[in-house]
This record gives sequence, structure tokens and C-alpha cells, in this order.
Amino acid sequence: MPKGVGRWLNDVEEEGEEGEPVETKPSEDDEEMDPIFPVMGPGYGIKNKFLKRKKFKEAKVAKMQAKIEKARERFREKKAWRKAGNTGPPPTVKKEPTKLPHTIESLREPDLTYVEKDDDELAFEEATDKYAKYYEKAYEPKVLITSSYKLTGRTMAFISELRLIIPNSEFFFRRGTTVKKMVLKAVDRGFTDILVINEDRRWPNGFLLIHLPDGPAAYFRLTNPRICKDIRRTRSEITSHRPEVILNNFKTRLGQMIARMLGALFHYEPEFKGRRVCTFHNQRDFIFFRHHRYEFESSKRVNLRELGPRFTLRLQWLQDGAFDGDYEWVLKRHEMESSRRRFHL
Amino acid sequence: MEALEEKESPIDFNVFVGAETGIFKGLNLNTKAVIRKNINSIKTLTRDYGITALAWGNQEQTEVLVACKNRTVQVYDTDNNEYVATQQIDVGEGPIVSLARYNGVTLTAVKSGQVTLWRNNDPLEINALHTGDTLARMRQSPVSPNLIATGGKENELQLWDLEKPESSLFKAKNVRHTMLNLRVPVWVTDMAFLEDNRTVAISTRYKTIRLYDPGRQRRPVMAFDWGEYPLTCIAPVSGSGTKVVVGSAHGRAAQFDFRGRSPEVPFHSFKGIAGAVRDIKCHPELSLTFMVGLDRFLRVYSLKSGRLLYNEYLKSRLNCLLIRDNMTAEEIIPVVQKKSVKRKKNVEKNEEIDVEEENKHSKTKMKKSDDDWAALTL
Repeated sequence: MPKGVGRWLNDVEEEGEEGEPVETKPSEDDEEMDPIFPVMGPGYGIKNKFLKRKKFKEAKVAKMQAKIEKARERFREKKAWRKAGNTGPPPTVKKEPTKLPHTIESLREPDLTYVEKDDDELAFEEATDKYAKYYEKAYEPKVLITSSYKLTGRTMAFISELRLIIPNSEFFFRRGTTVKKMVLKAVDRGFTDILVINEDRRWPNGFLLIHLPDGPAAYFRLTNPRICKDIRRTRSEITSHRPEVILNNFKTRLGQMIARMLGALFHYEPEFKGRRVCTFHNQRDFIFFRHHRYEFESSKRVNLRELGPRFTLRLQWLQDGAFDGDYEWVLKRHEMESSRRRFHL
Repeated sequence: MEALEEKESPIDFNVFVGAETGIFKGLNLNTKAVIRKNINSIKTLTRDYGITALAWGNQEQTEVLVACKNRTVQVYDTDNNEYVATQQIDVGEGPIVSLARYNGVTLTAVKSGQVTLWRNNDPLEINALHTGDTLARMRQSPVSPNLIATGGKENELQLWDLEKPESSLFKAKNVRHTMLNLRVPVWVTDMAFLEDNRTVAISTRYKTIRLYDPGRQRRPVMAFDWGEYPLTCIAPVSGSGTKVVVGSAHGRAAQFDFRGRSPEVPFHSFKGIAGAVRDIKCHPELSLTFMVGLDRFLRVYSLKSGRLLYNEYLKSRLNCLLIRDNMTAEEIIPVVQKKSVKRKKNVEKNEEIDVEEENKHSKTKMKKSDDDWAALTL
């Protein structure tokens, strides 16, 4: 017997007759309900083409027959109902309400480091950490934006748009300095954060965020950068009002820290008059950035108009110091990504 | 600081961890459940109480010495679960980097290099930093407690005898210049007295692991690089005179054996660590190693198999660790057993995990008999 066949048969054991998935009902001693995984189609895993086709055909025929049989049954029921002397439209069979489909996000494995409500240890740490002063509104952030050594057109455009988004930010040409030297200079000039956009093959691909004077620093991989032009918008739509910042779906302790870092790039008091909103949405460890403006059509109806740019971030590491020091968290793919449903942010 | 959480019947903690925030936790790993508790009350804490070093206060291990960032040493009584004494250290500058106990007297080392033995009338002071920037660590020899080792940034490994504190017993000499005739920088981060009572191993911020034999020569008898990131701590493996566990700032840890043809190849590398390792301790009898670090986890690994046996999320960034010597295998293994049963459905339940074998992870065993195979049809 070919190896694949045995494997397929093993899969079938879990299915009902006719290849329909059996819903596993949670037994009483099981605490959590097991997720319903997608059932592979007939013929899955069979390498023999003819056998595979045969299996598929059989399953298809069986499915059609079942359908016909069901329709006949329904017809018989209706006939019997009329015979009993009833008039009017026959009663309809109530459909079961469709369940919410599982997504990788909803099947997420619970993490040990989830942030709990009313955790005084966390509250104490956050009240005394390196971002505590920002969240006490003790200073206004001043952001230095720069690039990697060589700067080309698209990255330049991307940075220009970041400059418009982040209030009180300045762009400096890198001029071949090292990050560590830049940190010292920027502290002297009163900057509170440094943002370095790295580029590779003339395309932005890295996002380094350093908090001054002494860390932390985080490096993100930057993917799918879309400047305003790409989404058919003009930069003139971006006003100079301070935006509102939404940090969404950061659940773990690490996620909380990253959210604090990203939030502290912007001024703590948004100007709601400008109706600008910057969103960092975390989904499956990818942080999606979107920039919108609210548009009030009437007193009830509100639209969102995207202004651009867009980009996606993926955390690579978080360091304790300002680009110097021990790492608090490092993405180690083969050690950490043990499951598709395990996330860190 | 003296305020404790509600006083109940004392819990016999067998692991203590100190956090950067000043939170000091006791853990009781036992057969039923893991009890963990904050010993300090969070309400009275500030960042000044950040714990920088821990040490046992006596042979019976009923007292813990806790060094804080504000240069106080507190004595915590584990029998009554309370602090019994506090002492302010006013020697030198910077935080206390290490603590030890010699003949019932506390020994402290501060970042500016002063190692002080706090005898009642005349405290004995050693300046371990004639040259160099900062002192990184001081370690006491487990075999002869009068022997201590110091080292730091631009400060080579030195051995001192507390009975003869006038000058150091041994001062290491830097390795030869590089191929380009450049001086090799020095930054010792931690040292380990090996059990052969002869050699001392060090880890450096410049990625090297070195083995010194003070009886033979001032330069290291063995030196090799590991990885691309600074090494933060090193601990001797008990029961072997040649093995050490080394942790890095990038969240890597590995066991090395100085014996053999290729000592630079890790004997085991411990997987699953996310952040910098700050402290490593090996159990004196069992082949277990305990680690804490910036990723807020306490992890227990088997030294034989390199497997992660147990981890515990402790919420704060952890700086230092202390384990009780009399912890038995039964206190660790049941936790592992519980975890492995949870992990896979297909694992036969109640499968006994061999204590000797140190939990070779139970592989998924499909129940399959000949009848099953016979029943298979196309």
C-alpha cells in the first residue's frame, strides 16, 4: 500500500460517512474546546493520479446523491403535510445559524505573558520605566528621522511623508555617521527619539526606533511600504494637525512595550479638529500602519478617508539600551515559531 | 520596604529571584503546584530598590542577602519570611555588583572596584580596580571561601586571598596582540571557579570564553569565541571539573566542556530563551541548570539532554537568581510530567517519566496494532 494512502485513511477515520466533518463536541472533562480544523478534500494525500481521481469522483457522486435524496425527502414531507389537510405555505426548516469562521487569529494559543487587568506589578513597572515621563506628559516628543547611508527616491518620498505624519520631527541626511554617534548628538540637541529608515535595493525595508537618552531600541522589518502616490492620494491632504494615535490589539507584555514605544513618537495631545488618525494595528505579529481622516457626512454618518502612506512592521528585536546593551527580546524563528498559532505581540 | 504582604504560615521557598524593578520573588517548586510570591510590597517600592545581587547569608541557607541599587544590603530571613537587617554600604561608587559571605561576615563588591569585608571593628577593604573602568563581578570559590575572583571593564581577572589582602594572588595577563598588532580589549563579565580547584573560567563582553590556570601561566590556557553577541554570565557545572554554562546578551545559552578536542563547540545549547541571560545557577547534585534574564522567565534545563524542563513567567525583568541546594528531583520532575501530558493528546497518559533519564521527551506514540493495519482498505 502506498504511504500516502495510509495517511489519507487515517484522516478519514476522523470524518463521518460521506466525508463530512464530524463536529467534536467538548466532553465535560475537557476544559477547552478543540478547534475545528479544515477537513481535507477527498483524494488528499494520494499520489496515484488515477486512484485520486477515482476517489474524487466517488465523493462527488455521493455528494450529489445525498443532495437529491435530501430534496426527495423534503418533497415527501411536503406531500404528507398537504395530505393531512393543511393549507397555505408549508413550514420552512430552520437553518442553524452560521458559526463564525475560525481564523488563525481567533485560534491563537494563549500566551503566558498576556497582560492582565489590574496588574499592580505591571502598573509599577510602567510607572517607572523609560517611557514613564512621556505618559506623565512631562515632555513633548521630538523625533529625528534619518535614512541608511545612501538615500534614493522612494525612501526619500517615504521619509517625507513620515515627516508630515509625525509632529515635531526633523529629517537629517545620514552623512555616513554611525548610529551610536548619532545617538550622542541627538541627545545633545534635545531629541527624544530616533527613527532610521533602512533601504535595500532602492526600497525601504527596515525601521529602527531608538528612544533617547538610554533606550530602549527596537528594530522592525518594514514591508509593503506604499507612499501617497501609490494609493492615489496627494500629500497636500495631510494637514499639520497633531494626529490621534490608535494602538490596537497589543496583548502581551512585549506587545504592550512596543505599543508604548510607537505611541511615544506622537504628541500626547491630539488636535481633534484636524480629524487625523494614525493606526498601528497588530495582527498575527504584523503591525499594520494606516493613516486616515474622519469625514463627517452628517451628524450620524462618518466616513474614513485614507491619506497614506501605508506600511507593515514586523518586530525583529527589542534592546534594553540605546542601540547598545542587552536584548530584551529577539525573534528566533526556528525556536519560537513552533506553531502557526503562536504570536508574541 | 519592611512591609510584607500578609503574614501567613511561612512558605519554604526554594528559588529566589531579584528583579530590576526591586521586586524580590520567592518560588516554591514542589510536587503539587508552583507557588510564587512577591516578598516586597510593590506599594513601597521605587526603582532605587532594584536588586543587583543575591547571596546566601549562612550555611543552612535560612538567610538571603539582597543587594539593592541604592547600595543597601538587606538580610531576609526565609524561616520567618521577613527582613531582619539592613545595612547601607558607603564605600566607593555605583551599585553593588556582587555579594558573598566569609566566616559569617558579609563581603560586598561595588562597581567602582572596592571589595569590602564588613568585619565588626575594622572592615577590610581591597581595591580590585587599580586600573580599568568598572568592576563587573566578584565570585567566591566554593571550595576555599577565602579565595575570591574579580574582573571588569579593562580590568583583567584577579584572584585574591582574604587572609592576605595586601596584594592579589594572581593577576591575569591580556592575550597577545592581534594579527594586526592591535591590543585586544578587556571586559570580563563573569567568572566561574571550576571544581578541579585549580582553574577559573571567564566570559567576556567581547564574545570570548577563557580558561585560566593560575598555577601555570598568567595568560589563558584556553580561549575561544562563541557567537556574535556579548557574553553575560558563566556558571560551573557541578560534579564536573571541566564544564561550564555560558549565557549571552542575545538570549543564547550553552554548555561547554573544556576537555576534549573541540571545546569551542557547545556541548548543548539551550533553546527557547528570548532575551539576555542575566544569571545562571547549576544545581549542586542534580544535572539541572536555572536561568533568569531580561525576557522575564525563569527557565530550568536539563544539563544531560539540553531540554527545557520547566519555565515560569515572572512578570519583571530578572537580574539575579538564588537556588536552594537541598532541592530534590521530585520537586522539579512532576511539573515537567504535568506539562508533557498536556502537550500532546496522543501521548499515553500517566506515562512515567524516568528521573534518571531526565525527561527524554515522550514522543508521540500512535496506538496501532496489527488489527488496525488489517482493517485498512482502499
